[in-house]
Order: sequence, then C-alpha cells, then structure tokens
Amino acid sequence: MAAGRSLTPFYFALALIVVAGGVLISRSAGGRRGGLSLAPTATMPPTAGPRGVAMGSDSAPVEVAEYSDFECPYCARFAVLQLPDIEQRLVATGRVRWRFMHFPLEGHEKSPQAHLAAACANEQGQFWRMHDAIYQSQADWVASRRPERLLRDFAQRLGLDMGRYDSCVREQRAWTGVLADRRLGDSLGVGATPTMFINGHKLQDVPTFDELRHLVDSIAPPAGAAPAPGAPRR
Amino acid sequence: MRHRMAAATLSLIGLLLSSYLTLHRLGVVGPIACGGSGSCDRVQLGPYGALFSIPVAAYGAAGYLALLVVALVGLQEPWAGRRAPTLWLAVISGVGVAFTIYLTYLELFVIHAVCTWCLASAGIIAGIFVASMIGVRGERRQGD
Repeated sequence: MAAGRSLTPFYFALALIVVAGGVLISRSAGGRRGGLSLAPTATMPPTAGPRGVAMGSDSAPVEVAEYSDFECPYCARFAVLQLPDIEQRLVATGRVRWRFMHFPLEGHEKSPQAHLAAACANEQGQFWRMHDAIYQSQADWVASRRPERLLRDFAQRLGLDMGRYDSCVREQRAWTGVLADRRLGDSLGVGATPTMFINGHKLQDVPTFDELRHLVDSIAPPAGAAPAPGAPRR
Repeated sequence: MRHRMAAATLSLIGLLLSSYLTLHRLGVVGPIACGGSGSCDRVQLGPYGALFSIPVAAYGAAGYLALLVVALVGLQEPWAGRRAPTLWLAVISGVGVAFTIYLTYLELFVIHAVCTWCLASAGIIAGIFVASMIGVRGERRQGD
C-alpha cells in the first residue's frame, strides 16, 4: 500500500501526458471545435486566371481551389472519401466549381511524374479520370521503382492516345502549367496539402463534405438551386 | 524504481508520438508540422516509411507499448523487487536503439532528409535505454 501511495503522483502525471497527447492528436485528426473558419482576408484573387483544372459550371456561385499533391496520403484520402460526394451533390448541381491546382511537394520524389501524367491526360480532356486513378492507386505507384510505367498503364486503360501521351511526358510539355500552379500556391502561402480556397478565402482546415456544404450554404443559400446545364465534369 | 518510472514516462511519450506518426502515414491526421522543411513528409510518406506494408512508426508504437507495459508491471509487487523487468527494458530498448540507428542512417545517407519527429523518437528510445542500463547496474550492485 505504501508503494501504491507513493506512486499515485506518478500515475497522475502519466494520465496528464495521455490526456495532453490525446487532445493534440485528436485536434490533428480533425477533432476541431466550432467548425471551419476562413482566413480573415482574401488571399487569392478571384480572377487568378485559368490555372489548374476545373470541373463544374462556369456560373457556379462558389469556386473552391484545391492545392493538392498526388503523393500526399491526406490528399488521397480526401479525393477518395470526400470528393465524390462533393462532385455529386455540390458540383453537379451547379453550386460549386472545383479547381484542382497542382502542388507537388518538395521531397515527394515521385509526385512530379504523377502531376505530369495528369497534366498530359488533361491535354486529352481526361484529367479527372486520371486524377481518380492516381489517387486510388497511390500506394502502388508510390511504392514502385518505376512509377512512370504504372502511370502509363492508367493512361492506356483510360483510352488515351498513347502516342500523344508519351510525347507529352517525354517532352514534359505540360510541366509549365504544373509549375505555374505551384508558384501561384507558393505566392499565396500554401505550405501544406491539401490547402483550399473558397472564393479566394483560404480555409484554415480541410473540410469534410458536410462542413463544406454548410460553408457553401452560408455563401450561396441553396433555395431554388437547380441542376445547372453543362456542369458535369467528365 | 526511478529508472522504471523514467522508462514508463518516456515510453508513454514515445507511444503517443509514434501513434501520431502512424496516423499521419495512414492519412488520418493532417499535414505534419516539421519546421516548414517538408522533410518529415519525405521520410514518413516515402518508400522507407513502411516495412512489409506496415508503417515504420507502427513498429515503434508496438515497441513503446511493450516497454510501457514492462515498466509499469515492474513497478508492481512482486515484480518491483525483481531484476527481470529491468533486463527486459534493456533488451527491448536495445533493439529499439539498433533499429533507430538504421533508420537514422537511411535518413542521412539514403533519403537525404531528417525528420524532426523521428529524431525526437530516437532521443526517447536512447533515453529509455540509458535509464534501463543505469537500472541494470544499480540492481547488480544491490545484488552483490
């Protein structure tokens, strides 16, 4: 019992460490309180130019620009779990235009190849299907020693003109656009991926579908929102 | 006893840290704070961030959990008076130190990026090893 008494402060200290660590981890995992917030000032000009790759209606009242890295697992999780809902319920209904901005992170050695592959698929109007294939198979091509082969397989399966795709990759024809996105992101202070801007306002965190829908509702109330013509992405 | 308490405290911190890194590798938690260098992502999310499809940090979490259990058991009767828990702490943390040296070698000479959080974990496992070796020496003297 004496030992038990003397150890009580020690166990209390351990419990404090557990609580502090748990709070920090849960905050990182999205356990935030009070919902999403926008940065106090607009940091991205609404007329940033036709950069990135957009899906959705040009007349959508809300534009979300997503700076994303193909090798980033958090981006993949968002693309696989959240984006399909966003596309179906916000983009296809004409309320949101979604703009993918290339942001290959330094240190992600295979990421440039994936961004180039997607940008080359975009030359043939197949960016989003390539985007989905790249994120869904991220673990495979990131672990591969020759990721360009897997990326080429994706392009082939999508039915791209492979002569055109190969020359685009070989000549790095689409790389300028990727770099332009990256530089714009740098100038806007994008330091991590995914980072999102809603109508030019930087989001302080990565939203779930529900959080994004609430935010879109607050910017453009859904009353009378009907499916917009020309909204589908593919 | 103090060395076991130190080992338990460090193991718990290491367990939380490696759990965080595991969740980051799995994409459950958001962007990792790494002093703006991006080195943590490079180490964590690159091909060396997983071994047999399991995040390297998860092995660390398992090791720290084992150390924590041994250290806490070693504080209870009848184990408090026995040398075995300290020896186990020394063995497990010794394996951890060896593994950490290998990972640090990869960071410095293969990946060419150093992850701050991995260095913190290296410090923690080294601390546990030192604490357990102090315990081994102290208990040996008591036994003599």
